[in-house]
Amino acid sequence: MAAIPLANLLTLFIEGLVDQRERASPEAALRLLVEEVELQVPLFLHLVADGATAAPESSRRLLLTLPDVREAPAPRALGRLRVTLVPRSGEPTPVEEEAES
Amino acid sequence: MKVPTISQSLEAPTGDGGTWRMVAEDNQEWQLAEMIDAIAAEVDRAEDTLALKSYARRVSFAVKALKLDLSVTVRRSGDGGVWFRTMMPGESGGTLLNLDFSQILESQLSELRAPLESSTAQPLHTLPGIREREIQALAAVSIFSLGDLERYTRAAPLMAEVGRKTGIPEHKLRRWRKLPALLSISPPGGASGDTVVVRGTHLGRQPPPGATVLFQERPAEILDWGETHMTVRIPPDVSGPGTLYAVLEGEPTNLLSWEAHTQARRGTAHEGSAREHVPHGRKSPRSGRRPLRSPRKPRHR
Repeated sequence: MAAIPLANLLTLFIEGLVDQRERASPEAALRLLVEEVELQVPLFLHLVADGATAAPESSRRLLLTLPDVREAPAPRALGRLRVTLVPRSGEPTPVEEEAES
Repeated sequence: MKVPTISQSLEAPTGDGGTWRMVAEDNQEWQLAEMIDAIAAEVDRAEDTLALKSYARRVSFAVKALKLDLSVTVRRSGDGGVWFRTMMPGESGGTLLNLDFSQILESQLSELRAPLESSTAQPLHTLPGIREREIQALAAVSIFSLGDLERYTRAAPLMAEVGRKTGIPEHKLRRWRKLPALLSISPPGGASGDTVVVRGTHLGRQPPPGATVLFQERPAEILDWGETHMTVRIPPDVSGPGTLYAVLEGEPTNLLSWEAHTQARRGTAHEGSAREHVPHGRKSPRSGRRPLRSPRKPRHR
């Protein structure tokens, strides 16, 4: 079953959002900027040993397994990840940059 | 298609479309504190990965809230500890455990890195001994000024990451930042109980309180200390090749490769310099495993 560490999933989410904001250029006629994203993902979550890591604080990894769409998971077997992502404070949006210039 | 093992898959580059595999035997039991630490470490990893990119890309996002609803089994051990294990696909009847990390993450947000606008404009060529190709390598990762360099190398993992991406030895980055750096060991190997001299820079005239020098993660006795050197005794029970580093004022230094000889080889070590341990990217060795990187400073929340 395909799985992904939590850190990698967060990185993928954020990189997708950054791509969207970078494409919202000042020249665009219509500017839609994502200000906050809330994701609720059903998944299986497992704590696994990262045998490759020597540092004690990172000796375990959180591995997320997304359910197969062809399967019907048993009731209450699925967990859920809810994550809210926001732009980092202190950086201008493309709209603000244009106003400043 | 070849399916990687867990350890391989954990080190696969993010976003490469690689496949990870989870098997039931890997699903470990955990106590609540372990789970919280693991989640905090995952968020740290994501932030570390995104840190350099955020400077190069002008915009970034942060994790404002993270909530987990886990289906778990609960067990009480003989010593009174409570152990959890998340449910595997196909299992049923679990207990629901809700974890909300909003407060922890808010505190992370409050310690965000300085905004781009505050970058000091002092150019890189003012650094002592810097070469043109090193300036170009730093520019390739969006480091254009001393202020950029300071922000990019604020934490030990970031320092190692910049070293890997630019090919500039970490000890050189540390010297430019006026941070303690280890340069060499004489001799580059020895047996337990032997005395070795570690050369470095910005070590301080006296060892700072709590200073430790670690051979293969074992503390060595400090015999002498100076601004550019420290003399230590190799601790017992070390063997084979490994790494050496120091922890000064809570911050780890760069790593040096070093080898412990058996007693039979004592005296055969030649005078010379141990080479700096240069990890080859996060996704490689230690970590045939992930590559050995600068020791991570524990974060307490």
